[in-house]
Amino acid sequence: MKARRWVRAVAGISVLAAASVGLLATGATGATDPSAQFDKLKPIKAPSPCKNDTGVSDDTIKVGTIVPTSGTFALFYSQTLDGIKARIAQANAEGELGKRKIELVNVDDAGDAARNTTAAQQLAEQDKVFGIITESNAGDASGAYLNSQKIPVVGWQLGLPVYGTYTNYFGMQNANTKNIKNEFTSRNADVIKELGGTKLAIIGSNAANSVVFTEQVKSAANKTKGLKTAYINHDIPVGTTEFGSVADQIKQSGADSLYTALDNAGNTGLMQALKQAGVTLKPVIFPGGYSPLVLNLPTYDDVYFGIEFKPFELAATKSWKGYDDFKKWMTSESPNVPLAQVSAVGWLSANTFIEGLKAAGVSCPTRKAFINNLRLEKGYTGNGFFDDPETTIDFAKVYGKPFQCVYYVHVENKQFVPQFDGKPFCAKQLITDNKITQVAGSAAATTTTAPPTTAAP
Amino acid sequence: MTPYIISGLVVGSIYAISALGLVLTYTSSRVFNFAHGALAYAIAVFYYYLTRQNGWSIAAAAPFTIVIVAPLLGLFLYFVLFKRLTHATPTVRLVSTVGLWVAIPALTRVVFPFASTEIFNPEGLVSSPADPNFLKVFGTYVNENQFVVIVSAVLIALVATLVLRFTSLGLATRMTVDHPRNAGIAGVNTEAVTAGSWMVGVMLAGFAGVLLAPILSLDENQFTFLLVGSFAAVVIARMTSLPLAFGGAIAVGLLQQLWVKIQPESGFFSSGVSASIPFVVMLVFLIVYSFSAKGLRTEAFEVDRRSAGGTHGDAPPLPPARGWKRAIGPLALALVLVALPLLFDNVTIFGITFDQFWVGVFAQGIALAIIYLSYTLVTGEGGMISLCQITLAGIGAFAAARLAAEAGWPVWLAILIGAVFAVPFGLLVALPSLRIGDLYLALLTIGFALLVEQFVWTRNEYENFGAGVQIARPFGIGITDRLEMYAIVAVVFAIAAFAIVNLKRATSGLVFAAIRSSEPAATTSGMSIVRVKLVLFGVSAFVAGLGGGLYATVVGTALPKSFNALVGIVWLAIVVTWGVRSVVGALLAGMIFAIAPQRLSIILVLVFFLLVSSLITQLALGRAYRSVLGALAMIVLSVVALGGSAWIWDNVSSDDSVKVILGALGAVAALLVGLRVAKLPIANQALRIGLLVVIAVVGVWLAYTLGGTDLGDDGTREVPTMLFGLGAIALVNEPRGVVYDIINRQRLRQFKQAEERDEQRRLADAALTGAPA
Repeated sequence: MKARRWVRAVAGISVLAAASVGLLATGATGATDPSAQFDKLKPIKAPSPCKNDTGVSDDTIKVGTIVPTSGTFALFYSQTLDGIKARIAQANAEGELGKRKIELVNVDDAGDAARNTTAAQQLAEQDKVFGIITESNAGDASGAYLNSQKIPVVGWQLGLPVYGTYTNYFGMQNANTKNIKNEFTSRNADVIKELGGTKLAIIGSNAANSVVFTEQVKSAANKTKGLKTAYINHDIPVGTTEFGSVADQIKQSGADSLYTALDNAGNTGLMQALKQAGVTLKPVIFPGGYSPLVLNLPTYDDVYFGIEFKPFELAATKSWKGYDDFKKWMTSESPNVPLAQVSAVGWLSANTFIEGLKAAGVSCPTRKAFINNLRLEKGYTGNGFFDDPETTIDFAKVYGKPFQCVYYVHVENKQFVPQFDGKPFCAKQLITDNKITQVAGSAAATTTTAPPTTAAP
Repeated sequence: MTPYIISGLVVGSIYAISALGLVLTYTSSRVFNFAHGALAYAIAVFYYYLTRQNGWSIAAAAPFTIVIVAPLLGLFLYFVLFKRLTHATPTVRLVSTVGLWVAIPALTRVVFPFASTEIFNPEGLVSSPADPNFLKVFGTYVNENQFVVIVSAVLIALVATLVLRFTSLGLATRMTVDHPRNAGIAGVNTEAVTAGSWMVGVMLAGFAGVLLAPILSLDENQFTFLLVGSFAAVVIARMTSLPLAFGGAIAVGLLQQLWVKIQPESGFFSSGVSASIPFVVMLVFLIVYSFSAKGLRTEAFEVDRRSAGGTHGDAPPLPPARGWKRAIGPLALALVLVALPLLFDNVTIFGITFDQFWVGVFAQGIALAIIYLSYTLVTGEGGMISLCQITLAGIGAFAAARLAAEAGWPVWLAILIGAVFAVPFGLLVALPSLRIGDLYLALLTIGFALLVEQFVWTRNEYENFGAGVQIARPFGIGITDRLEMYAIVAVVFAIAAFAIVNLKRATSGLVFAAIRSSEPAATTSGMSIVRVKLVLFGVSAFVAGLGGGLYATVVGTALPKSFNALVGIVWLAIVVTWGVRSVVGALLAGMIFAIAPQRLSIILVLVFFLLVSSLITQLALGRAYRSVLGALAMIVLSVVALGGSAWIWDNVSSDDSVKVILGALGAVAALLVGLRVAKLPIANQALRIGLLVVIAVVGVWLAYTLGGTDLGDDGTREVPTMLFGLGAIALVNEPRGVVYDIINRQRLRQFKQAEERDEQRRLADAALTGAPA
């Protein structure tokens, strides 16, 4: 029968196709010190007399932003834009850039690769901006294009290899390694051990980033003396909120500490289930989500958060002008947006961008001088947001490498309490291609906060 | 074991609440409400607005939301949309609720901007935080929320089953759905029953939203996952059995939780399995059912010939053009494709510079249009609703990207072979389609899409930390060589479109039409349905794969998120809106999908222009349309309308024009609904006036909110998505899409008049002979 023949043919082709898809494999890249390329870089002086570069006029500098402000990624990213706007408002009001004011052109990419590329092209070609501040999960998509146009880009490096691939990209504070998957630090394992964990449970969603980051934590934990992985599960469907079974698995495994790569709803569900199952773990580490809003969640009590800048709580003990400015301008520009990790990331990205403009020369900033001179800058502290010796930034040195130091806070009685005397905690080992390559020393490390899910990195 | 079973019961109950809502609306209206989750989300956001933003207590807000607001919303949607769905064609029934699914969350975020930010710890039915040690079962604690969820699921299943089976109301409902005329004869007020069942349906959605908000948090994604996760239970229930839906949902929940106990910690199956379980279960049941004696064929009520003109949504064909006239269409299309990049060469109109950037956007649009041509084949020609075309496009894109990046193939060859990769997957999906009906095929294809999304594309080989797989452009074309890239996609589109048009015009086109209109009749005439469906799916998979590869190369990277199943649903909505039977419709849909996010005002002004010109044409011309003078007048009036739209654009800043037009659209919508209500035959005068007042208030409020809120950076961004959804809903009026409507307006009107005359004659005959019509 004809139909039968068709069916057989289809089955045959399908098997072939499936097999050929399976055969394709990814390869790893080798590594040399990516910073070496900047050794011979010399500062570029601002041209005089001034010939305005693209996006610069006698009284304005046009700067583009690409942030997902619609769609499902908006939940996580949109408030970075409020941080950016607040910092720019301050710069304009206080005349930080001399006679020029920054004019923002905001484009939404909805976290989509195609729209991210078009957004970059629109800003470069239609709006003719000087540079771009971007916080987007799809940020890698426009990397090759923006690099070809030699446009300065500053943004949240979170999990994006592009910040370690192109020299016109500056992380708001650090950079990234090009090879995120195989080059990371043991920081997460180290801090768990430091806080008293010996048997670690690792829970992550089935999103790709989460799977890789949880595997990295596992690998690091198993290479750390006195710490081992008791249970790992990175098969939690994104959106899961019922964790009774997982809690029981953790209980059975005898784990005494927990690292998660889940979104807030997931973390809440997991903590609740653990509480119900009568399991007490210490420490419990959430890689991201530092926000006053979580303090009201009962399940977040006794949890640790990692942050890439100093906890705001330190402003109470020691004067910290950078934070005071942040608070003042956020309150006046976006009174409804909480002072949290996300809004601070926007603020700091804008701050780094302004730093680049100053480095390029306020009298006559050029794109070329921005990219060149900001890279040469050492001792950048983001106005005190990361001013410890371990966290102060040397833009050339951090390029192409994961960074190693993070601040931790602990939730006690609905308050964030800075840990380690408010000093950053640094990784002890760098792991490359599953081998320990460096023990406690110069730059190394994984991204600060592992993006836990597609919805909320 | 107890913790796993309790967990499974909780997850199962969450699925069950959604599945029961779906089954109940389907049983009482024959409409599979894809917007169920979106409605739950919208109502949950409203509930949050009351409790957290305005300080209402749970005791006040919960009854108000669930018992008053949700049913009223259901009634409103009934008059606007659902009323006309029960007897519409399967495509329309499906796509318009899909449109609602797309539009509602976006609309919710426009009206309640706080919903765009992360909301922690929303209020539910029990005061939060829920008591964690509420109940102890075999040594395991159950918290208050879990308890309420399980009890609610059981109660809904019980009450709904009992009411439908054993009460006269249930009988009336079932009768109304199966035999509306007989029900009418038996004295059932069918309109009230249908309206009532939709009110109950939306009330259930609202209940689910309020109940599940603290568990799912106010995240649209979560409600979507819940909805698609419950599809498995709906399939197990064969859409209609409430007890089976309940049991199926619980079984899926238990399976997922028991898997946690045995899953491996590393290796291939350590990730992505749990999320795939509902879809695997669904696919297994679909296949098993399709081979059972009862099968999953289209049921009798599914096609109502009245709305379809007897040919399943087909339009009366245009008289075939002869001689040189045959070249007009293709030539015009070619001319537009060639002219676009030449026109957009640094020209400033309406304050926007049209330059090479736009050529890049157009290239993206045309690449999308090539993918959309695959809908033209499967849905347009084949009459089958496939929700996995985006997955096939993704397979093409990733195969191309990996062949080029990892195996070092030339990009053009990689794209071609990548498209071939998509074919067997298309055929695999096609196989079960031979034995199942329209709705099940839609569920099967979305199940396949979600399975691939969860099990394959979450893997790092594809996701690559959000960077995806990079792919260069063919023939060494650089990132900024817009014109060259445009030329390539335009040529490919032209070839594919030409091939498809010819396929339609040849004997194969007749075969497609025959099968669309009646499969049994086609089989009787000796046509092989198996072969035709496989060919359609195979060719469309190739086209989708080709478009996917080209889209990836235009963008520069193949990224899983670009090929998300839910994006595919938006795609279907927009393609069907513009015309799923026409290659021009696909082109317009692709272009608009690419342009809309860039310059929203363009789309709004276009909508406005179409509205105004069609109104003017209708008013001024009537039947004169076809004469030379009429055509001339139409051109003049269209130019006037275009000029007016341009004037609006030019004279109001783009943000303001968006507000003005949105406000106007809101007011018009309220006016239309108001007029409809005023003519309601069922209600008495007082009720009608009351409803009119309510709708007028809502309309004024809507126009005021849409026209007056600071849409700024955030609000407006949701508007394109909202419009895509609303466009699909408008299909109820014109199932053949905008392109068809524009081209064949006059013919269509004649056709409808003839149809109405026939219907009236039939009724008159029936009345005379005394036989049921």
